[in-house]
Amino acid sequence: MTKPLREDLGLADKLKVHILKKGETLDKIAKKYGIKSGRLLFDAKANAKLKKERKDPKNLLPGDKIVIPAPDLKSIKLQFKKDMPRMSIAVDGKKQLVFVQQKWEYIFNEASGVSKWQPKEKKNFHNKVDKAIWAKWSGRYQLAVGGTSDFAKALKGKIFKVSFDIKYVKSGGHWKVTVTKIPKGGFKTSKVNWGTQTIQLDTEDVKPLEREDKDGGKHKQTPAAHEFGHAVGNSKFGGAMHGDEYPEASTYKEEYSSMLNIGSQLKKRHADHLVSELNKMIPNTTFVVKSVN
Amino acid sequence: MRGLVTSILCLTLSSAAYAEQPASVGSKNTESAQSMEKNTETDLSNLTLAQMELLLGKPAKMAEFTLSMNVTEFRIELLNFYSKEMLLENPPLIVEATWALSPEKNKTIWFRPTGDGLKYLHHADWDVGVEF
Repeated sequence: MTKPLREDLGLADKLKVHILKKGETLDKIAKKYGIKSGRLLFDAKANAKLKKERKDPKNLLPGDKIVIPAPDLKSIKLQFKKDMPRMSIAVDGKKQLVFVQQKWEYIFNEASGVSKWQPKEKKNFHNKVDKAIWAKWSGRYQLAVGGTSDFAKALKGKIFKVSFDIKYVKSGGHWKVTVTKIPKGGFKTSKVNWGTQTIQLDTEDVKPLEREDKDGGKHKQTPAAHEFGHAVGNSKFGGAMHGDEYPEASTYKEEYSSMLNIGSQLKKRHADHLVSELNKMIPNTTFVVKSVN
Repeated sequence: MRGLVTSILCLTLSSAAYAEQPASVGSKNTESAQSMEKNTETDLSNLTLAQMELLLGKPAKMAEFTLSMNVTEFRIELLNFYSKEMLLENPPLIVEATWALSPEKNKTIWFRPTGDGLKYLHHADWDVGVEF
């Protein structure tokens, strides 16, 4: 037997009850809860007991309890998607999930003295990057939803998780990603250019690198996960308009553990661009980062 | 060499060089150091800072630092020139000079002090719009 949709969503919580105050009208109450009219509210099955007692909505008295019916989820759009130049975002209200995907179009090259890339190595590199980014970024953000839309009302109080995915594509990528094969244990500068939608990585970027801060604290960071931070909007040239946090001029230069500094911890601000874009997707709906771990 | 000098002198300097990222030192001691070296502009490697200034003018930004394993991404290629032991036992002093070649392009050259002045160690040409 198919479960009711509301239970699927984990929304089988108690219905709200509004206690009528002096001067209030049913129409006003209906509007407050996103119901088309006071008459519909009065006629709702949830208010059958009240209707039996008062017969007519005009007979309602202060103190009467009006049950606010659950939104009809079958009529609410729960899935939204938008494709942007640097990523696509999908919101699934049913799963309470925000899915961020970047399509990466790779260009593989080699430092001198290093063997040519083999097809299997290319695939392996992509898998490692995808895994590193997934491990460091996915499931960390908890978003709360608010607003006056049916979507927001239906999912009020629910927590959305965010997943980040990299898709290997041959053409039409959001980003052109040049990966240089370098000797094991070697070093090459990695970088992201928000404007040209280009990323430069190397084969050592999928391994954690340990760095020490000025106070002797040790921090591990996987460079690919740091660079992804820029590509997902932590750029001073666009997106959230804030990027690397280790420069002297950064407000966060002493937050060494931060992903955009020399560590691996995500901060609420690292989702600024994502949240800003999410908040343009569904009319009258606002997402905020409730917590991050 | 004449071609290099001419092409570099034709570049317009601006005052907006990237401020955060410095330079390097050392003698190349690994194969990876050489393989990282993508010096397509022929031979910068014989030039001292003074000679470089003749070509490019005064750097827009200069910095000096002691190289360690805790280097930022921008300077990370300098680690190819030193072993971990060398960095721990005798951390090298590096001088970093950055020129704004155009509103879009910067050049950073890292030098190591020698008895004959500051000698070229490594360089990076980078777009103003990149983040590391």
